[in-house]
Amino acid sequence: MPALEVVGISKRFGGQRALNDVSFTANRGEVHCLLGHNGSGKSTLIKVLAGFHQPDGDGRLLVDGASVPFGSPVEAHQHGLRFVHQDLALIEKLSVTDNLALGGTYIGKRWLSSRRENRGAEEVMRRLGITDVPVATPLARLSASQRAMTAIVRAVSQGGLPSVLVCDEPTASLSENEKERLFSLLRALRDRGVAIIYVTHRLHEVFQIGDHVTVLRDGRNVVDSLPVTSLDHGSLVAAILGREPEAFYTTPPAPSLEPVIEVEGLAGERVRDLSVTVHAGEIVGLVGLMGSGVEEALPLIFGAGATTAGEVRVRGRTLKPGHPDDAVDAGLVYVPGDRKRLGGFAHWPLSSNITVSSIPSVGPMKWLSRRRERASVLTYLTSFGVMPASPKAIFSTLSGGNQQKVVIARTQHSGATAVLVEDPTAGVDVGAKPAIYAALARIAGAGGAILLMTSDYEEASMICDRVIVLSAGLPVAWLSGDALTPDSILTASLRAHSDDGATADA
Amino acid sequence: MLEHSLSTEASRRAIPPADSASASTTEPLQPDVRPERRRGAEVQWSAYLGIVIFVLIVTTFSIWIPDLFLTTSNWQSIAQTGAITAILAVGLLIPLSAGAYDLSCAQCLGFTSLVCSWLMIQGPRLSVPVAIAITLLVGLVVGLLNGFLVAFLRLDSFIATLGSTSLLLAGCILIANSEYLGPFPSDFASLTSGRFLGVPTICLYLAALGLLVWYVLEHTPLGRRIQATGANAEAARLAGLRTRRLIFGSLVASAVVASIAGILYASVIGTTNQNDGPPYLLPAFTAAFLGATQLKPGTFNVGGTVIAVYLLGTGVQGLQLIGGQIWIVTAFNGAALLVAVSSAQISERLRGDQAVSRMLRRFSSRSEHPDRLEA
Repeated sequence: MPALEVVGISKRFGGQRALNDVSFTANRGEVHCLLGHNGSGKSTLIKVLAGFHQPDGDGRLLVDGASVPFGSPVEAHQHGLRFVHQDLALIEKLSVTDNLALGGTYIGKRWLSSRRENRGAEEVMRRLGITDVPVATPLARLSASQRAMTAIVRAVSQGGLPSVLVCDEPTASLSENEKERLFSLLRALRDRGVAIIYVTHRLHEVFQIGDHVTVLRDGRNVVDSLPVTSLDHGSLVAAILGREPEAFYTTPPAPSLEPVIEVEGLAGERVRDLSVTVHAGEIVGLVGLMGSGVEEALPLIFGAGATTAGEVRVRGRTLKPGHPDDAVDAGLVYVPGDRKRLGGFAHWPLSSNITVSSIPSVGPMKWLSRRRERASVLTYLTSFGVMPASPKAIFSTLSGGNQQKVVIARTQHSGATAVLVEDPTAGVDVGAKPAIYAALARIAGAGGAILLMTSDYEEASMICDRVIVLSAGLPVAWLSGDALTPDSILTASLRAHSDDGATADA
Repeated sequence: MLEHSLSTEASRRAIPPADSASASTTEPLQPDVRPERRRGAEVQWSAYLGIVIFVLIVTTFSIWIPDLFLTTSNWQSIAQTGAITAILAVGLLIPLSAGAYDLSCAQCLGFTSLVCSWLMIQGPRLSVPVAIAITLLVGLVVGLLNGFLVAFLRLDSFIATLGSTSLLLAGCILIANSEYLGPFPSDFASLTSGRFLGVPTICLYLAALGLLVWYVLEHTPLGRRIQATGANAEAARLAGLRTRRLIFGSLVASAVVASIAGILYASVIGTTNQNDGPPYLLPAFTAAFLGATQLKPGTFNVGGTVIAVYLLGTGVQGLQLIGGQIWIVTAFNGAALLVAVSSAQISERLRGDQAVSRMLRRFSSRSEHPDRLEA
């Protein structure tokens, strides 16, 4: 008997068909990958499973053979369906123990003893093979993979092991090494007979962890529960896109020699000694495992972190540490990885989002013409391919990829020629990635300098001229040309910083 | 700007599939927006609810007690009473737009009115213009203190201005010592006596200040930057805005406006005492938040705030005229705020938008000091 059976589910929103007769089955003890780019109906399907949407018509949902009524999250939970959403839904200020107790319960009924609760949480973790998550520590101080594991443990520890665990892109912000730890947790759950529905944008993960694959496109399942072994990377991309994939990039020629961003001996909390030079027309990648300091690097260069040593120059001008405004004045801008929280002004129209760094006016107290403002952003909306290309559209209504394009467009509206970009395609669907790469290529092509921090090694090898690998706060490898491949980046980032023999900067 | 260079295609990299980037120029609008959100341009009925209720209130009282309500003196009384609150609330909009509370504004009004009185009739017995100038300087100092605490010591604005409120109250007691100060020289009283085309002079001050704040907040780059700071302080800082300076400046501005309100208050009332400030605190905040549900839902705005003040003022006046007791007045203020905010949120939920809810959420989890990114 399959653990999860989805039979003929359809859902319309107004005139739009979000799901059209979707069916698939997942068995106990397997990882079932659910693929499809944004708008393919994936999230609608998950919401139907979770009981947030009532499907149309006579679709059915069976868990362990028992029919689950639609439209009730409580029923879904009672039938053994569990969900880990992309944002994890954890409370940053609370400890792992407290987060595990959320929605479930503490061991103590009348008197809460932290020691007893922590021991209990450790025990729950250990039973799933996790020994390296400090349960008394607030989530905010843990690594991304520790948080993701906490979310998964929480989902499966409430009321016994579930029949079905749905994970919606739990690895979106994880690097390769961190991912592996998460995968071993998922494998442990799989081996205990849980059916895992694994939603992802990263295709190579399918081959790392998946047993079966279902692909949605335009609300239909175009691949229905096929074994992973019968598929390859190319056929998956073709299934997701509905056409053959195209080559995105060719190897770029040598860049000009004009240095734009110069970082010398920069140090912060985790970055210990970082020197990088980015020349005009160049895209330089900065990669590393979580904890290597790479996630701190760009804010530090931008002046938004706590600089303890070193300096940053943009076209010869030395930046004041701790002053992002000084960086922007010097023509250095920052596209943060956390689009939702740091990138945009959610409720503002696109026009204001694009102009905020460089509001078009003569002086701070002069009349700000909305019409002139909207006109000034139109070129950017169209040249960066933002959909909709309407200055009045509200930022929060755009898809992730388009929000990213808007934030990138802002850097160009301000006339910046030095751009720091952090994980620009995290959580962006396959179809939208090329447009973001094109936007970055455009900036570099126009003589801009881009320093790109990314946790996607394929992306790094594809769009960067050079890649610098960080480990333990220090650069350990400089890769370029033929030596720049996803494998070489991974190998270099796994290498301990102690045995680094590389000395020459490219 | 890179406009021209952007149009020349970047040749060194193969630009990816045409359908993603360049084709969009031909079909500008639509796709990608989720259908239920596309009605953004639709008029939100609750945004004009204030005006409707205002008309209802006026109609009701006009029918109920025409000979008391429909008189020039009644309207002038409403206009005059509301003006002080409105001026204070309009000044308060500036830090609120930047995402900071200024709880001390009402006490600053009370303190500066006493300072001005003391300077004129008790202490050095200065001439009116000098006393006013010094009072404005005192207001400036209060603002600098608030700004220093919030923007430089990085205290939570709620706590910092609560603290400065207490300090100001102490100053008030010190000056007034439970006595009434007054009467004032006639040229001080004449600042606000008299009428212009039947409108009390004090309303002209309100109009001037209101226009100024409206212009700055809604139609200058400075105002846009203040609002960016309030909308998402971290994003604003990372976009290169000097958020600390903006918060600092907004607190200074509100204190200066509060001291203007204090001077006008002294001039209108004719006497001052140590208990004058606090009664203005809740009405000013009520007006600002209620105003943020009106005209431009989700944004603190001058028009909505002035409407809110006069909506409440008219209702209160009417209730007093029909012999309502003092508790009715307070209950009316509270009920009006709750009705306005909840109706705005409900109507937002109906149209799938979130402007007001977002604004309120922002205020329940304020972060004025995103000086460091949490990695």
